[in-house]
Amino acid sequence: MGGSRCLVSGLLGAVILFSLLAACGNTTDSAQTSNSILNPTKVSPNGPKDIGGGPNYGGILILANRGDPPAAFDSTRTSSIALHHIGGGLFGPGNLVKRCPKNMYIVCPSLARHWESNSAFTEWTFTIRDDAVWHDGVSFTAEDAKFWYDISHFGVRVGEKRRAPAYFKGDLGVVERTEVLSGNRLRIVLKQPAPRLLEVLANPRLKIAQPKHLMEPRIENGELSIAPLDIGLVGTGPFSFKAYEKGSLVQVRKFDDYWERDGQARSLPYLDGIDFVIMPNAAAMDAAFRTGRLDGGGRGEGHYLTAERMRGYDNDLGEDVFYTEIQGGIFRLAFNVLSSGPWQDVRIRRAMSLWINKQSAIPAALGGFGYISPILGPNNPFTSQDFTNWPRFNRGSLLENRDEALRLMAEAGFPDGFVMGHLCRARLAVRCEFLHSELAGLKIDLKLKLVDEAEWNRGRISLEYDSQQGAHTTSPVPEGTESVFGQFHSNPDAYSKHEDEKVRAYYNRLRTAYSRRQRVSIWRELEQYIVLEQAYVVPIAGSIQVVPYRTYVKGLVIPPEDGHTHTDFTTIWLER
Amino acid sequence: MQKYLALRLLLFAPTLVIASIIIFGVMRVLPGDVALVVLSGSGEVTHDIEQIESVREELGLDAPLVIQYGKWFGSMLSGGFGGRSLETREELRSLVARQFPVTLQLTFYTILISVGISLPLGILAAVQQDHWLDYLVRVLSIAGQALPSFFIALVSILGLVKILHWSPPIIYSDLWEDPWAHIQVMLLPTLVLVWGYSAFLIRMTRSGMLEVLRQDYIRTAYNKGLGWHVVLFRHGLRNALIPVLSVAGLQIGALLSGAVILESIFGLPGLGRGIVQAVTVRDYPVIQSLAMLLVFLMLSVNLAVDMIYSLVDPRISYNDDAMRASG
Repeated sequence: MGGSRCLVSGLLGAVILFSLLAACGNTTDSAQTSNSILNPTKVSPNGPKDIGGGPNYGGILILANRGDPPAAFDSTRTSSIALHHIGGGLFGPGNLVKRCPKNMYIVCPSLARHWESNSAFTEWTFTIRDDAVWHDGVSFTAEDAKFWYDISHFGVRVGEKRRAPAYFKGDLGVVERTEVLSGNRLRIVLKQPAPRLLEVLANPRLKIAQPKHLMEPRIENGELSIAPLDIGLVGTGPFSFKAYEKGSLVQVRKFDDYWERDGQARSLPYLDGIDFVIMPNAAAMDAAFRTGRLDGGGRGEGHYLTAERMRGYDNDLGEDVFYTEIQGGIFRLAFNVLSSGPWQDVRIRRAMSLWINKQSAIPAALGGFGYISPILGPNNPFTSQDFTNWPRFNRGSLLENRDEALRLMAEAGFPDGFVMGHLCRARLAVRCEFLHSELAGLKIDLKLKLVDEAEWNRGRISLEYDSQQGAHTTSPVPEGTESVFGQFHSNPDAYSKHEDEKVRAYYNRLRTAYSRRQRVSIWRELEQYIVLEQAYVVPIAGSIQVVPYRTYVKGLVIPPEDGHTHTDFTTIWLER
Repeated sequence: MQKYLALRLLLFAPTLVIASIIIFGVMRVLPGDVALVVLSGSGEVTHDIEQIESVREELGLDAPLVIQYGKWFGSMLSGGFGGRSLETREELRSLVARQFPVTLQLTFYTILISVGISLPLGILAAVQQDHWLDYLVRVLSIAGQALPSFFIALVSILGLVKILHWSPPIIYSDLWEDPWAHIQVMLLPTLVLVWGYSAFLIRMTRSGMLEVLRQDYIRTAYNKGLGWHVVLFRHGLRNALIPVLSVAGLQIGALLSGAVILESIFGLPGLGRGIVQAVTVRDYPVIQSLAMLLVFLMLSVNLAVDMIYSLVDPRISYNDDAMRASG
């Protein structure tokens, strides 16, 4: 018994000691100590080197990342921003070509320095640059490019086992074969014309993260699911992999043999490295940023700042913080016209489109930052330039629009409304609540089916729901939108479920249009058909993705839209 | 005692098998498909049926359910701990080895501190019944029970930022690598959990002590001239501890579920956050294996509590003679 008392006393003593120690952590000094722990090398050991009044070399940038990169960093498996925020540094900002830093709507050379196609756009030949090197020192060649194209398009089969092709297989064209030519060239031979192949390959989601010399032998040994993480994350990007502590941290460090130079022929990147801190919780990210533990915020829905959160940043940091703005995807209401219900009547769809107050969605459903646009971003050169005068997009006529909406409802035989189901992604529930309250004005009872990510992924490609908001695709290229506006049987992930032949015909015309003027003209016709004439989709408002950075972070290249773009961070330097 | 222990341990096996079938079955009934999640990433891409089928084949999800169950359970038995994550392809053995210690540490700190403060406060509240000290302890413990841990966590994070301009370190540090950073990382989530967990213990200790202190044998002990601390601790607390122990054991389950949310908020790479992530993407092997680990933990905790009963209360005995006597 005496022994038990001793034990209890000992335990109590330990608890008190521990509590005292823990309480001591709650001081300002601890923050400083911790900062020095977490930011061990703010500048390079030799001190920052001024390179002529411009950028400084050196320093470690600390950014939040929304989560652990999924699919073992496999860019052929996932487009998650949790991967691509980090992947730009590891695997480079593009593919054989990339979106130009100065104008993302133009294609620039990347791993290929030159390219050409035949007049029918059925043969593309890329000349691979000679100075591109994998992080393990092996040269990047046309063989690597062919390997990537083949596994992405055809997948792999070894015996009974099968490696699935990439999720973007359909975008790569209908490939007949790929072949390596002399002079470090890759030729892609297609069964159908692919005039927009360059724009596809410039998509930052199509990163080459699969070195042939490391992956092919293991695939041949039966490891078909091998992913970049399994081979040590060897890429060709400006930063090489240093360490990955799952759930905590991904560290990348400057790759000295990176091929790219800045405008004055100086080597890139300027930074010594980047630490991506895995922070799934946005409130924790806010706290860390506001207390100086982060240099930049994370990208991804939930992590982009709302107006309210930005006020907290301003209050704490004032002039020490700046914000980048990127146009994100559009919040929309899309109808399943293959499921029976009043929404199969175009008058009903138009009525809903006329009724919803787009402007009010920005503060109510998009966190205070947004824009109005039909399908692509308002700055996108393909977008109809007069859309602000379209009915439902013209700001000043909401009352007239709503009168017309009520008239259309009555004309269609539903003056007292009806019930409509809606697939609601739980993480975007506020948008569903906005739709619910808006449509209540038309006496439409929107039944929200709140689901998690897994069910949302399944439900949105099914015909089980009367309406939904669709996936968050932000392809800036019109042809890239067929998968979300095309016919259901060939595009199960289309926002609106329809089998409209006219839409297919529009996309066929787009695919075979070779001049930019033709493409713009056809796209604008199609845009009006989908949004105005048929109202298959009601675009409400686009989100603006706001990411905070400390003011000493210089040289950021921020795209006007699509937050996956320019995540290589090569031109960033720190002026602390 | 040994026979009882062996019997209880033997019962683990059927319980775990039944639990594994239920867990496996429930996961397959839930809507959603990991193949779609793998293809969709953050929901920004589209996919077609052929691709979905080939990913399902690659992940082994096209096999009959019995085969899938057999493979998973076989891997559990052979030490593979259920194979690999479908989403990240990480071996579950290494995943558990990485995540489990974090949650275990959090739970251990919570229990240690909670027990350390709950017993004295519970006794104090009972001895000082209806005194201001009693009211204070009751108000604090009721608040701890009533307020959800995620709410306290968010308020405390933002409160510290606002008042002290301090936030917990953003990178988890192991106790043995960097003890000071570890304490700072674990401090806030531990205190949040302590508040909720100790609230139950304080209330149970207080009510148990109130009941015991009114018993005749306590009055007798006082009248015999024993010191107050002997009466309180030797005769009072030992008798009041049985229900406290029961609740403490049961609450460990709640503690782990509280850790699930807090680990996500505080960025701790533990089991809780792992389960949340796995459930979100329907990563079946991860959910199943981690759920089985939790089942095993609960069984072990319950067994440990039953064993401790006999140490605390001499009337409870698991020795073979006593079991034979009780039939």
